[in-house]
This record gives sequence, C-alpha cells and structure tokens, in this order.
Amino acid sequence: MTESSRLVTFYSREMGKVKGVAKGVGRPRSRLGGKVELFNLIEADFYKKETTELGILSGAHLINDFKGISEEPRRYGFGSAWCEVLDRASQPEEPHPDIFDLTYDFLDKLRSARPEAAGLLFWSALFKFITVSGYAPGLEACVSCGTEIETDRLMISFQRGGLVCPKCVEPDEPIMPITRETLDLLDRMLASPLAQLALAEINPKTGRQAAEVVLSLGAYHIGLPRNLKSFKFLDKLTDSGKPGR
Amino acid sequence: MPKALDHLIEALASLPGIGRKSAARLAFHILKRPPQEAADLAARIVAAREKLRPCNNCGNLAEADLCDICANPARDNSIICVVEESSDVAAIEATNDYRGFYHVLGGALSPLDGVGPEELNLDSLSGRVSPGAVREVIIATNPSTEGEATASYIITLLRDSGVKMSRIARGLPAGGSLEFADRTTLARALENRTTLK
Repeated sequence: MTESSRLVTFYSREMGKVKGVAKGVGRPRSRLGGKVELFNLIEADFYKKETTELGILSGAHLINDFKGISEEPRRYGFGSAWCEVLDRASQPEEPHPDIFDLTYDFLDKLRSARPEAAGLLFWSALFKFITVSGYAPGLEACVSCGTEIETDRLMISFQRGGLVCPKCVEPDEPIMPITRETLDLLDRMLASPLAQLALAEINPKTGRQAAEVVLSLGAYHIGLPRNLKSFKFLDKLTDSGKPGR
Repeated sequence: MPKALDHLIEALASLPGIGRKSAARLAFHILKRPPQEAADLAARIVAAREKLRPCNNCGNLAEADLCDICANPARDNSIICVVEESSDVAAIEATNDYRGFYHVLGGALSPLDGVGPEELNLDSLSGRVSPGAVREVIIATNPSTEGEATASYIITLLRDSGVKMSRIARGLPAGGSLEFADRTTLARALENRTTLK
C-alpha cells in the first residue's frame, strides 16, 4: 500500500462492515479525494474477492457529507463515538439494513442538532442499536415475576435483561438503581424518533443516569468498551468548561 | 537471512510509505555502497533528530529557538497561516506566494485517534493572535473531516479576538470538469466562490 492510499472501514447497507483500500486517495487529483472521509455517505464501486479480507475501492460518488457535524466539537465527538460503536459492535460482512438506516438518521439529525442535544441523540441512537441487535431490556415490569413495579426505587439487572422488583433481587446480585424519571426518559429514548429527541429538554442528572444505563447495556450485551476514545475527547471538552458527555 | 539485514529491513519498513519489499531494496542498496555512506546516513538521521525541535513561536521545526521563518525580519508578521504539520509549511513555502508567518498545530482534532484540543499547539495560537499585532489568520488545515473540525474549533477559539479569519478554498480541483463533479462538491464550490475583481 502506498503512502497516498488509505485503509478504510466502511459500513454499508448491502455488506455491513467491510474494510478496503482506497488507492491514491491522498493525491490531490485523486477521483476519491474528498469523498472517502469520516461520516461521508458515498455510493461506492467496491470490489472484493471472497478469499481476501480487504477489498478495493475504485470509485466513489459523494451523496451526503453531513457537513454540520465537524463544525461543532460536541457533534464531532458524538459522531466519532458512533463510528467507534459501529466498528466495535459490528461483525465484518454481516449486513444489517436497520442499523444502516439508524446510522443515516443519527448523522442526519446530529448535523444540525444543538450542541446540548448531541449527547441525548447519541445515547438514544445507541439504545435503539442495542434493541435492534436483539437486546431490548424489559422496562415495563419485573423481568422475573412479571409484576408491575409501583415503587420509585427501581433496579435494573443487566444479567437478567431489565427491571427487577425488590422481592426478586438476589442478595449479592449486581444491579443498578435508577429513578422513575430515568425510566421515563429511557422509554422516550426508545419510542420517540430521533428528530423529536433532538428538540427535547432534559434534566442533565437524569440524562447522565440514562446514559450510564445504555452504556452498561452496550458493554454487557454487544461488547462495547466503556472507554471509547471519543469519550476521552468529549470529557476534555467538559474540563474546558463546556458540557461533555 | 542474516539477523542484521533482517533488523535493517524491519526498521526501514516501519517508515511511512515503505513496504517490506521497498525496505529490502533500500537495505540492499545501502549494503552495496561504501561503508562511509551508511555511516553518513546514520549520522545525519541522528543529527536531525537531536538538533531539530519545535520553534518557540510557531511550532515549526527549528534548529534554534526560532525557526528560519520566524527569525526572518523580511516576513510579514501580521499574517499567520495555521497548518497541521511542518510538512505543510514546506508545501506552502514551495509556492513562493506567501510571505507571512505560520503556526504549526502538530496534527488535527481526531476523537478516533484520541487527539483533543490539549494535544495540539492551540494555547500558544490564542496568545499570538491579538488585534493590532495580527491582521489576518489563514486557516490552512487539510480539507478533511478532521481538518474542517479543527478549523471550526479555531474559529470559535479566536472569534472574540476581532482579527480577520479566512479559510483556504475548497471545491473543484484544478483541471476538473463540472460535468463529472458530484453535487456535494459542486455545492461546496458554489458556497466558497470568490468575487472577481
């Protein structure tokens, strides 16, 4: 591979996650120049032998560059985090059109989202990703006995896949306590379209707890690392006085 | 293969753009030449590594406290061109069209690579840009997603300074044809159009 070529990971509707070489993309007059960039939606001429791991990208047509994402640090950080999620939680060459559509929807709403809304958009999209992957948590009643939980003292067991009532929880069972507000927010994150969530105003404390639930679900069910590199970037924005994750 | 040769090929192959085959070709070439040439090459690599350090003013590579550009009184110190790497300085210098100063960031914002604002030479940029002393900051980061994100960050960082800021143009490549350009590239070219004098 020459210095002007680049190894690229794509997420496609037809093939899922695929890796390929974009030959000569770094040359100023390359036909691929400006098209093979982070977040870009492209129509690609992609060739790959069944016996090889890497394909070759020979042509690309730019459809959407989701321009607004890179113009604001929080949008950029959460957009990058989504790319990490796709890379870390998808198996190579397993097509998943629902996740492709979710990715499009997320990037499309993120590009014009208020910086404060970028986090809720990301965590909602990740929650939908986990659900689409087949790990929807039971949030309506105790996943063990089925009784509706009346109390405000709610507990989630990631091992059992949802809410557990005080009667069913084992003495040393790892659980995460959550508030009724967090549960309501989690319901909204799953049921509402991203366009609506982009406009929602939420209590930051409730948002942080919901984010922690989604991250723990992701770590438990789809093997998502808790310390994505993009989170480090977002946390530094917090240090600089701007809201981070 | 002798161990020493294997180690040499391995070291050369770790350089950017050099694969194992090219590394082997370079290694055999070095071995064919007189021993003094190999010693000279090694000495120059060591000397460059030891002598060169970031310029105290702009972050470009320098042998003294200031790089050749910052130390040159004939340069226009009221314009600062912000670039990602020292290699970009060399590229712009090769045009012979720019006589201002530079500011080398040492990379671009990239959450995926763990590069945030703290990893870049940004603090000293804010210190350098003050109205009166500087009349324009040209942001010449790469036209990539990372470069654009860095440019946007710098614009926000320097917005209150009151200094004029500009971004290098992007759009249709020289020699390109409108017919074959995709709609997004054309849209960017229209957005960044320039007024004819």
